[in-house]
Amino acid sequence: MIRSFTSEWIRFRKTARTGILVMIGLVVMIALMLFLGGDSMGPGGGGHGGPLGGAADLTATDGAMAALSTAINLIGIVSIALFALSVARDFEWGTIRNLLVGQPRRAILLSGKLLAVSSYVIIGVVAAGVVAALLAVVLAPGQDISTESWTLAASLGTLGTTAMAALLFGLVGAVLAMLTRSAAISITAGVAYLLVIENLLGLAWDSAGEWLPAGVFSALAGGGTDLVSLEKATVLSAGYATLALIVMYVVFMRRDVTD
Amino acid sequence: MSLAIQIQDLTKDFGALKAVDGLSADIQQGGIVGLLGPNGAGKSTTIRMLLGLIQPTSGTATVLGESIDHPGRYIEHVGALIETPAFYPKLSGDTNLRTLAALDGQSNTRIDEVLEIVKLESRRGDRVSEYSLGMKQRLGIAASLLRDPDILILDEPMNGLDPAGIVEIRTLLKDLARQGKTVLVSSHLLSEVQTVADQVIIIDKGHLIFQGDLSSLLEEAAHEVVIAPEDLDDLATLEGVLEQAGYAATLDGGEIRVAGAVDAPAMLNRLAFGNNIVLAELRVRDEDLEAVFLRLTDREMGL
Repeated sequence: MIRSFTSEWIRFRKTARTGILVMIGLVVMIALMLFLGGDSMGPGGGGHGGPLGGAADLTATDGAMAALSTAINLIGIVSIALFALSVARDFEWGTIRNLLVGQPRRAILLSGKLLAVSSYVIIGVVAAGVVAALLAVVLAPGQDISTESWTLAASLGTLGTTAMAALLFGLVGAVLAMLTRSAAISITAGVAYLLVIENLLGLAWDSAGEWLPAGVFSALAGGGTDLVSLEKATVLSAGYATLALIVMYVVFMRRDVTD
Repeated sequence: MSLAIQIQDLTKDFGALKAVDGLSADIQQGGIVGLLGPNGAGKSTTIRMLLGLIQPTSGTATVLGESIDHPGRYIEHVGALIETPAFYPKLSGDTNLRTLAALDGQSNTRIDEVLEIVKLESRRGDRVSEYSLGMKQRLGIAASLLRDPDILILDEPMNGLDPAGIVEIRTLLKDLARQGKTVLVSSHLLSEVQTVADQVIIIDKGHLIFQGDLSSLLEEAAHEVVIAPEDLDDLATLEGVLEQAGYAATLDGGEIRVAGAVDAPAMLNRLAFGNNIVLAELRVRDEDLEAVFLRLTDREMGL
């Protein structure tokens, strides 16, 4: 698996670097809006608050990570794209043939690929988190935002849950890519679901935010919300992740590679 | 000599399409074997099954004695180029090979060696998207050599290569065979492999049509005598005379083809002369290997 990981790490470096920079850029944008935009982002704590997720409480113990957790859905989109590109491109370009001749044990090959992309997403989230914290420290005093309750432990906790949520979003992208074998279709479908479909479902079903993936993953990133506790978000996320992995591995193990 | 590859009644269906239909063939270790057949004959599907990329519908095959149900048991001894070489277009040739070398546990030194073998060192840093088809083909062959395989499976390796490149690849294949490696080269053109292959396997519509060495294939060749009268008005008369004498004569434009009469040109000449017909042409024509291949695979020359 280490060989599969290393191979994917080498080949995905450029794409991942772009993704990481986009994550950092998004967090900078959200941080500026949060700290300089007054109340325009609205109060936090709502978890699944539309495309940007819920605006976090800047004075909470993890206030330094407010920009990061608020940006979870946008980071999730980047993660969906990275995972989808990693999985689907090999089918689109036919390079999956080379990979399977190099490593015919498909479960090992797929695991190595997913771990490599996951590592890049984690690096992106951590880098974005560091930038979010630095901006928060710089911007908060000028806006009369109290930083007294901020703690390193709470910030690290939010960093961890946000990274977990980003990986879960990425798994959605990977499943879609495995099923469609098209990066464009899987990214479009993933983003459409995240930004449009789940919100529409929320209009038709009041409890949608408590059960559907985007709401649950956002709640996990925010350390739980009024709608979904951290415990519930963790259990549901684990369920979604297990389902996604089962679908992905079963499809990949059984598929004829005719591309 | 032990078998490198043994195929027994291998079948692959894609819905209603039978891509490979009860194919059986044996490939001995060492030497170059041409896998021939027109486009759509089932060559690539067969190769993909041997590499574990496609599951057969029925039948079995072994590579180096191991079932193709478990490619992980033999694949480390196999190098392959499958159809059009596939690489990451935005990465350099060098980086593409590094991804494969990493997957295979090979050192970067080996990358230098294989790039030198296919004469691609000077362009190793260029993006693959900037490569010509011939260069991609060379890179594909380089990738297949990374693990210094015992069995090399090359699907249409001459595609896109210029004449000099084709000669170089043929030389490379001969060198590999001399080292005791087994090289399976697929092609839809006999001419591409006939100068290097020790044996050929011809398939069409998923069936085995012929397996053996090239001299055996030549025995399948048709031989005929072609004659033409000086006066074209005598064509029909001459055809009738030949048929009366028991020959299978066929009118073909301004000449008559007489099948299987290669030992009797003097007799044909006497027959014509005895009927006051002067011949302007009388020659023996042997079917060449390409024509035999095309006839066996039910294709016509020029198609």
